[in-house]
Amino acid sequence: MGSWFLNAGFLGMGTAALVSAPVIIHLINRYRFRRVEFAAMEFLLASQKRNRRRILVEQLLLLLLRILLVMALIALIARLVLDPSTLALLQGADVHHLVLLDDTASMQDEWNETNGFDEAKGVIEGLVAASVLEGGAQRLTVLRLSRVTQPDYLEQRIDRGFQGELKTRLDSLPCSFRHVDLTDGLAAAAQLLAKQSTGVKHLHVVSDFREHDWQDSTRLVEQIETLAGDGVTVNLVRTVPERHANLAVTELSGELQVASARVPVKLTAAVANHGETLIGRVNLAVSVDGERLPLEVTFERIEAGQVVEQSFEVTFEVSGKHRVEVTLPGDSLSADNTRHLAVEVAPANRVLVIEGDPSDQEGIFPTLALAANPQASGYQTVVASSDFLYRNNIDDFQSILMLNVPELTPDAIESLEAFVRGGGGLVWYTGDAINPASYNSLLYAEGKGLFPVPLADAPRELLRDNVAAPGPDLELTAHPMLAGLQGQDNPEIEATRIFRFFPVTDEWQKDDRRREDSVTTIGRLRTRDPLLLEHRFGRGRVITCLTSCGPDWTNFPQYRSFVPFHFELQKYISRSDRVLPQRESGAPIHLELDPSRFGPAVRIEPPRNSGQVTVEMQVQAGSVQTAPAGSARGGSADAGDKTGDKTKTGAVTQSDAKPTLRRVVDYDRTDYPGVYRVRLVADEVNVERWFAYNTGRDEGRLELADTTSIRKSLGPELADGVRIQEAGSTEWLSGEESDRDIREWILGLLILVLLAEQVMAYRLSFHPSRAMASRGAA
Amino acid sequence: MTRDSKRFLRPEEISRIARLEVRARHIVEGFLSGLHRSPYLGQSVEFVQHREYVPGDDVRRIDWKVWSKTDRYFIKQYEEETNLRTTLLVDCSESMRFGTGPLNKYEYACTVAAAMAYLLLRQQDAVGLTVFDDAIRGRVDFGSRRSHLVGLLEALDAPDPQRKTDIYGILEEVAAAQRRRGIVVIVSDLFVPREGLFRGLRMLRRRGHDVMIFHVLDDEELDFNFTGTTRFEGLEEAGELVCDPRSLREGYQRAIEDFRAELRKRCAAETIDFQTIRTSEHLDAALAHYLNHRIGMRQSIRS
Repeated sequence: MGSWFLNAGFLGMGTAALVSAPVIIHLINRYRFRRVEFAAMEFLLASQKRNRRRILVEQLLLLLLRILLVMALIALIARLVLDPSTLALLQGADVHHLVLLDDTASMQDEWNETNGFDEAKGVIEGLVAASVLEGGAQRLTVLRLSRVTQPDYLEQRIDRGFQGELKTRLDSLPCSFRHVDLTDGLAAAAQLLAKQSTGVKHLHVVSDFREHDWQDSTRLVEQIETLAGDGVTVNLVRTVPERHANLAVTELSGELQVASARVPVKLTAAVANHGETLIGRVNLAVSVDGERLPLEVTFERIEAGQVVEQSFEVTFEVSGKHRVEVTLPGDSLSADNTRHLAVEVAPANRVLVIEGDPSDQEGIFPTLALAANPQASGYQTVVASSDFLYRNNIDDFQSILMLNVPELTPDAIESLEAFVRGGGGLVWYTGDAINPASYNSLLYAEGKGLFPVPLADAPRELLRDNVAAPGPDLELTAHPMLAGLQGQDNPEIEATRIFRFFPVTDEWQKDDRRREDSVTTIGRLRTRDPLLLEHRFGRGRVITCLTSCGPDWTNFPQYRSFVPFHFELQKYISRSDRVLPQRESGAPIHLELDPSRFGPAVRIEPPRNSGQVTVEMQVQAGSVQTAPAGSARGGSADAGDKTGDKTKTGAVTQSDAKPTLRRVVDYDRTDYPGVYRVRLVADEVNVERWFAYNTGRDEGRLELADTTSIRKSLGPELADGVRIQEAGSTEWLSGEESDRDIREWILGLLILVLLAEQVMAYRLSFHPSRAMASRGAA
Repeated sequence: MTRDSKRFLRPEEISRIARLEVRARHIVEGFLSGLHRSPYLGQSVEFVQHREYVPGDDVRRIDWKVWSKTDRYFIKQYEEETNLRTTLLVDCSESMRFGTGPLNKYEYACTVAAAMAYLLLRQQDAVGLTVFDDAIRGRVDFGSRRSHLVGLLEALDAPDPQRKTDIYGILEEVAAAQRRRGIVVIVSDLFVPREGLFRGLRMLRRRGHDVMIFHVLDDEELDFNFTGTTRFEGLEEAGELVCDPRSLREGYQRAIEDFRAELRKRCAAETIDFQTIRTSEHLDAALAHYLNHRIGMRQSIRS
């Protein structure tokens, strides 16, 4: 009983005497009366006889009201504490506590030898301890935000035995590195609680409540409204008391598609300062395959809220797959201090050069530009004729250069189309030998083919207006491929002469904005004729140059820019399927494997320090809806791949998909950042696929959403019903917060009882008028 | 006299009644002037005999018919038939002792009786008085002189009411004593056995008496505005009761209203003029009522 009252001491001070006071006063009053000699007794006695029973009932009612009045007063002064769950316990109803535990990466925010997640676990333990003390039918569900479909506890009955088991379980519960939207967790909680039709329902959201969680709060508020509408008490429990400074590695990428052994690969790392003050001189450590490189990437100065990028080069001595890690020094949130990258390093970047006329010297220029020094450039060129396209496997070439090829056979076209569609790069150079009719009909194919434009019947010379001082022949647009060339007003671009070019037909619309195809003009002649074009075919990029590299056509090869131009060109068009995927922690690994190529055995190795075990499975083939091979998701494509340029991919429509037999691999234990290796057997050969996982970028933003802004987001009506507990507060666990409601109820009851008592007292003559009082006993 | 009997006609009462008399006379004269009657003051309407005129007689009484025949002056003499005798019956039983205002019921009843007596004596009407409880406590025979008032007031100055009421016996005695018909005015609270009361009233009516009842009640007997736990001790040994008055108020008022309704109904059946007067009301209303009654009577006698 004492636990029901905050001022329990008051109870001992003659509570029983107070409650019995009305009875005693009532009895005393029966003997305290005034005397009146009355003449018309006959009528009085008649009235008394008629109303005896009613009067007795009214007097008893008055007595009861007075006792109730005293009890209400005692309850008010002694501060009766009864929250709905206690009332429910008294009524015998169930109380269900659902804890939505935020285990996203930001909960690893550390301070004073604790962190947000440990604090959250403490809250759960405290809640269970308080529930054990209260007793009654209380149940617990714990739902981690990182796995809302798999509750850790589901309506577990709370008792002393469970309390011990919970502590053991919580101690070993890891915090994930994921970024999860709080709304998804609330939706899952709402679904679970909606199944419960009776009893009291509490939802405790134990989280760090970062500002980015509440930025777009519409969906959050809607979910909370839904919960409140279902009669759920929503309790937001903070676990992090204040914002801490944090540096995070938000990016690690590079020119991975052209990574080759013994050739420096340019990598870029970005570091964000999520704190409120400037940070100076930050060193980023670089490791390859677990070994620290004698290299530090230094960020001299990062302003608060700023993201700074730095590039550096790493040389992989050996081809094959490698892990790259960059690491910041430790701070409050270590989860985002390291970023992982998986790199597929080729022995060399193989480029196929198809010459139209081997005797023509024009083909030598691009070949020389790329592969003059294969050791230095990493490019290995193979020069061949067009029949090479269909007589050999061309899939392991990064790109194909078509130099002044007159025409292609259907077989060659089919093979080339498959290559480009699968992600390979293609460059066209025109020349004297081009057969425009064949190009237009088979390669342009009304805009659906490998060639971007219909050609005119013959090449043309570029006329000059002023031979003595001609203006630049070439105008280039801002394009990532040309960025290196266009810096500092490169004079070589202005000096480049285009003597001859292959014009497009007059019918072709030269203005990109007025056409509805995917062709983009990158460079134009001063006559506004297109010279350099780009378009996509399947997953591959196609660059078309409507001139030749021969001296009759252009003087560009003589300039130093020619070589870097081709290097940039290769980087831009090289197939990107060699770039290994980077994902955020938690994203599942999903593979659909062609059973005719891949065996059933699958082995998945998590990062070494993740604490997770290697998984081996036998995957049987089943029917799935899949896109045809060569499409954006063809063959053994892995869903969720974020690499590569997704623009103008020619997306596969639903109608393209058809049921196919596939071995489907699903693996979702990717919480821990690092490189996950999937070992498969393909064509009886062991193959590996690597996936690099990193902490969600948003998790590094540690600004807290303050209580005022949360209440503002909720709106005045909803905010009244939602409780917000500050970090470290424990009073709410013992139900003290609820007594506010009870006091109001008691006060209301007191007023009602007082009014009723006054009415009854007046009715039963306990309020003499002054005149009557002064007359008194006659 | 042990007490100042004239306390029932204090100077302010006398002056008020004097004004009342003026007003009453005004009412009567006005009423009668409308009928072109001369105001009567002790004049009879029935001729009895002639008497020879002597100087000083009212020349209006000269019978001119006789003069024309006899050439002598004779005046007419009438019987004082309209000098109806009014018997005032004043209840002095214990129940009349109740009062919550300046006057209790008995004092008020005596004031009513005194005022009426004064008025009647001023008009040289004969007035008799009987004060009663379970027996006649005081009786004054009829008299019409103004000096008769003293005797009346003395009779009213009875000891404080202490006893019960035996109304039938009293009315029987009064009826037996009153051979000539007249007006019987009863001033009482009528807290008496009903059947006895109505038997007595019926008896009076059969003997030709005109009966008027002034039902005197205290305000609290009508309104019952008592509050707080009260022990009611009945007068005339009517019992006692401890109760919360407000809870019984409604029932009490219904009971007393039923009582009054019954009285009105049964008095109306016997053509008895019945009027309830609160002790807080002024006398003029009661007296005006009496005068109206008396004028009406006079009219019925003439016709």
